[in-house]
Amino acid sequence: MNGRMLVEQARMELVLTLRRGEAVLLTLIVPVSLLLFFGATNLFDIEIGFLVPGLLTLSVISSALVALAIATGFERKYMVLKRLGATPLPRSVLFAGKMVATLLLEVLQIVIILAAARLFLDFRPPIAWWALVLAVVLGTAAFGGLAFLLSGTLRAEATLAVVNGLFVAFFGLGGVMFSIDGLPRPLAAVADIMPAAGLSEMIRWATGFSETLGEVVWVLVFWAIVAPLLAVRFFSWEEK
Amino acid sequence: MSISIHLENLTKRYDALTAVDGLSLDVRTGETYALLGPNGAGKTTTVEILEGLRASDSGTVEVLGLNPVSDRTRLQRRIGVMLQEGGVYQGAKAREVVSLFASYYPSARATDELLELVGLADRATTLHRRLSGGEKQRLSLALALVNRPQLVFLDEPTAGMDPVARRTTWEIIEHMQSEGVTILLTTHFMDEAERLADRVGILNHGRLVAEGSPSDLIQARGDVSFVSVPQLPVEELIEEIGIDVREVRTGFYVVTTDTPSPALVSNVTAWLANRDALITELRVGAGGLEEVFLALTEENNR
Repeated sequence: MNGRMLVEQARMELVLTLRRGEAVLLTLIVPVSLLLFFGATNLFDIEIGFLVPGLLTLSVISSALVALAIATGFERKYMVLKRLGATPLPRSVLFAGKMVATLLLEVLQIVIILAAARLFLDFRPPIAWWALVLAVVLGTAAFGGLAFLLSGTLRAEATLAVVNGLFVAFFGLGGVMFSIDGLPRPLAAVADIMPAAGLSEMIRWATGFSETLGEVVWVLVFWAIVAPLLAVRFFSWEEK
Repeated sequence: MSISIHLENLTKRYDALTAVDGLSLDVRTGETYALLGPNGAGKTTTVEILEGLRASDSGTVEVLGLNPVSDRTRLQRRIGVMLQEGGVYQGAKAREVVSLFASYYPSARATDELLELVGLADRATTLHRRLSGGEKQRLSLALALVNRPQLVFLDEPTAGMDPVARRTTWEIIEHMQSEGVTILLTTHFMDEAERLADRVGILNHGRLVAEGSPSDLIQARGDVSFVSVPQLPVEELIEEIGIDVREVRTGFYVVTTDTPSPALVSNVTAWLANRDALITELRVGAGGLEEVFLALTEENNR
């Protein structure tokens, strides 16, 4: 019974996301557009081996943080979450459905980025798949936990504003397009305690760009554990 | 006679506010029970406690013989719920939502049959956000019926509907009644309660102030009501006759009493004559549920 509910729930979530124009733009179109633009123009002189893992990081953030938080926030506002609470659907299956849909969307994003890099930029990195999967799972836990924490405590409009702001912040401070080492000291200090830097570090390692894994990865692990716990603690099903 | 809902001394507080204050009532299996009351009387809180969406502070709550908190999943398989508003994915099509909800239950109605029942068969592939207000309400009603529930909770099912949509909704509810479904509904419309309910309970400040069939409640009142010029100084009349008088609507006055007498009627009309205020209508006893409601719920006094 729960298995069937999970499949149906995940399918619904994925369909709804793919039907939202702004979510498709942010998760599927923006990352690959950035790849083709910066990969082809050599503007800022970004190495392709650095750029691809950065955009994979951005992809995870766009799905697990931005798209997920906005969808959940508005479902809460329109009392979808409350209504589902009056059905036999367990809360755990509701959230599992969201996570499965997010992971599927991320698989699609990764396939598109890697395929575009290969086809148009002739980039074939040596990928340690287990490490890439682990990085995506940790990133999804960290950013997904953050998404639930925000959407379960703020009003939907505030969630929308905050996650869009965070998306821009992580774009600059997450080691996505520019190395954190090049940032001014105070900014680098902020970047170092955010989950994005650890995720980009780990994906760069998984795709063979860097040979060693920096300690900043532990920051990602910390967020992957703490953000979901905070979300469970503070999530409320209805806006006050 | 079996009982579907049993409430004894139910109490629920939100900080300083007591939303439900020692409420006891029974809903019999197969009947339609309407909870009436002004905004903030505790109707929605009561319904949400029965649905398992909220926990009570104290008191006994039994729904279909189950505890809504500890037997939540078992109960929710057997009940249908329609919230006051919202509750559906904005970007989903009507049919998608119904079949998603069907997957939550071991046995569910056929999706298309259900859409047909609520008159949404031709809107099956329309996104929820593009449905009209009345269509959204009917989709929400369909979701309450997916699992062929024994007991259905309808929280203001026709709020915001035009007269045609209301009638359609009433017919769907009457269809459920003919199938023997027990219904607990809340409403602000007295005509809705009079038409659909076997019994009504009037809530005020979280307490039950009257209960019975609509006709019993109407007959039980002995109020003297009259229509005259607005804003009469009723305090003077109260002093004169020693009974509470209120202008419940502009120009519509109710003298609250259970024991009307010829002397009382004569005193009231004499007082009005002295003020040169013409009576255009005078009645002893309530003419409808609305008057009963207004007499019993003072907050509506505006």
